[in-house]
Amino acid sequence: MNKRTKRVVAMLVSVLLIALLAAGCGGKEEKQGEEKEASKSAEDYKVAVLTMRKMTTPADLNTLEGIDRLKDELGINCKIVECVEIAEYKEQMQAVSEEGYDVVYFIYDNFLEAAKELAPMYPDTKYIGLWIDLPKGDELENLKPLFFRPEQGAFICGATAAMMTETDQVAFLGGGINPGIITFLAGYEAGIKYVNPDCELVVSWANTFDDPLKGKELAASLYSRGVDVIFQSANQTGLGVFDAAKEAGKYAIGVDVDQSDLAPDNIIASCLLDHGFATYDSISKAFEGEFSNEQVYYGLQEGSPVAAINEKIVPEDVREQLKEIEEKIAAGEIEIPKTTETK
Amino acid sequence: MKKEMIQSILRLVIALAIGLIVSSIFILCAGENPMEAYAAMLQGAFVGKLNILTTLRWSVPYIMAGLASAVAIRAGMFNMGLEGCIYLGGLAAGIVGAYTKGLPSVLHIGLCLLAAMLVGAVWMYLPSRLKAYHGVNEVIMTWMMSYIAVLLCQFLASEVFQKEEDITSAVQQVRTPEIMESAKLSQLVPPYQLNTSFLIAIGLCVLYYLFANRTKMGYEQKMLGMAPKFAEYGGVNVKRMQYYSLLFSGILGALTGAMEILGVHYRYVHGFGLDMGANGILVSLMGRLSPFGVPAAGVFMGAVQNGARAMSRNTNVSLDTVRILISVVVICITAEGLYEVLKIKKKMREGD
Repeated sequence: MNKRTKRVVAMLVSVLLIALLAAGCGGKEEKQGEEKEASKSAEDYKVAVLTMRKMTTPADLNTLEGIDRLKDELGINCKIVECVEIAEYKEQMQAVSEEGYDVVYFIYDNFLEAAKELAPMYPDTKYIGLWIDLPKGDELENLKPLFFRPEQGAFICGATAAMMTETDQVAFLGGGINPGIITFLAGYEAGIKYVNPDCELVVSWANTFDDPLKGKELAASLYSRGVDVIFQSANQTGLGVFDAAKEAGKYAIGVDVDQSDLAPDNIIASCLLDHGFATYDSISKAFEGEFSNEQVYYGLQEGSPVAAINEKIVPEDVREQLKEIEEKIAAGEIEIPKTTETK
Repeated sequence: MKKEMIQSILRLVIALAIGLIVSSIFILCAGENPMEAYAAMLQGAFVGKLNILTTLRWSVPYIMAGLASAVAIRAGMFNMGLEGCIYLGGLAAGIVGAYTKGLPSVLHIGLCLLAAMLVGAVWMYLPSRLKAYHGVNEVIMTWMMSYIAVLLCQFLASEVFQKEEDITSAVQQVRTPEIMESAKLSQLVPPYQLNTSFLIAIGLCVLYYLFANRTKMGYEQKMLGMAPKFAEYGGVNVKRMQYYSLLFSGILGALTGAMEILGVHYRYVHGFGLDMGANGILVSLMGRLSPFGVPAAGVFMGAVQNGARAMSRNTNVSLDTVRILISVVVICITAEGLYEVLKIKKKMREGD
């Protein structure tokens, strides 16, 4: 019996070894093939998009649109790498760098530490980071930081809210206190005060970015105290705000993308952060050889739309006023603060 | 001994085969070729310097958490609170690493690890005491304490220890300041993430072997796990044994977290040990608590995880498929009956 067991084990082990070898060889061949065809046609251009979550939130869907556009218009295939665990950030970035991707595009600044460390080690790889605002002096040869001008969109939304409110009470619902969200709040506040200095601003924090129910509860309590416009800047949590707006018949303002189709009768405007445009713009430029390590801000001056007004609800005269404000911002006539003490 | 080893290898091979077959079904459902997916996985785990080193880097926390869990299971108890200990240990190490200055490297690292172990022991004191001397169910106790620990760490890190300049601008990430250079465990092959914690883990495996196979306490513990009544009759101080087993499980758990922070993240980042506690229990069960099995299972888990990431990068197969593979393998390995059935069938055949 012992002999038999031994034979079985030997057979199994050898089968496994052969499988292992085969797999190893197969892999190598593939890699060599890639190296040979190093010409940079669109099909060989390798782009990795690193995200920190499954691509399901409004902003991420917007990114996906940009990725689809890259594929349709230029034929560039992007590989999306979802780094769900915090421990994966550096590892995945190192792996895609090692695997010879031409562009490593990452969204949000929790990848920044890893990028700063890895960029000098892989000088041939181009790193592009969205939502990265690098201070002067921190620039790296092959790291392109992209940032939005969220305060501009928030300013327009604030102006819209102040013009649309009937109770002179508007609210801001943030997912959590961090510099990014504070920028929204600052712009929003400034926009309200620009139009109507007497309008009261109520600020509420959900302390979570992915709890729609909590968003709904908070919004409902805000509406019940007399607020009639809520600007949400809380990702998934904010989706609950729209439910509450529908139930209360009040107004809400969306963020990231034009969210008006979620509640066509309640969402008066959306503060746009065009991830899709940023993705398409930066990667296509890198593909065409126009890569630079200059900081880019996407805002009105750069010709990127910052707010989408719902034409169904907002009357024409208000829209015209808003257009004037936009022009003033683009011309630099209105200074928008990036931070505020209101919390 | 030899026969036992052959048996356990055979058991592993059978479990792996079943796991691969079951997850093939899911890969086929996703419209991909399972063989290609597995090839990508193997390649991602073992081909190339980066992949091998990353596999080893991941096996460190799995081995450590596996040992931590094994110490408790050997005495017949489940420490479901490993995750909490991992976070607490990580936070303790991160804070001591960031705020003590001017120490030589060896002392500093030692101090960080010691702080983590102390915190782990303090945290596990209550459940160990209650389990051993008052008969409270340790599963529920440690499990609930784990939730408290994780949330406590989040609170402490974000409200007490987080510095203004460490707040990331776009995404909420709870983290404490970076640790001093002297507290960092150096990388074995820079720039890759594998670091000296690997050596510590090997050292602890050796200690575990000596404890389990060469000491009286180790033998007593094994007896307690296999037959508590018999152990008590045989003169084992059951209460004390349970108490220390659970306590040491917590200490090892805290050490796991501390080594992750000092070796890889260089600062406490909340969420660094996602599912590490549960995976530790899986590793210890997969390794059947043996001093050789646990490290092997740890490396296996590391390879599977690392390979899976490569697989999801290079094919369209989702990472979740690998969870199925791991679950099936663990079920098959821990299913005592499965192997017995095979043996009986064979005996019947031989009887013909």
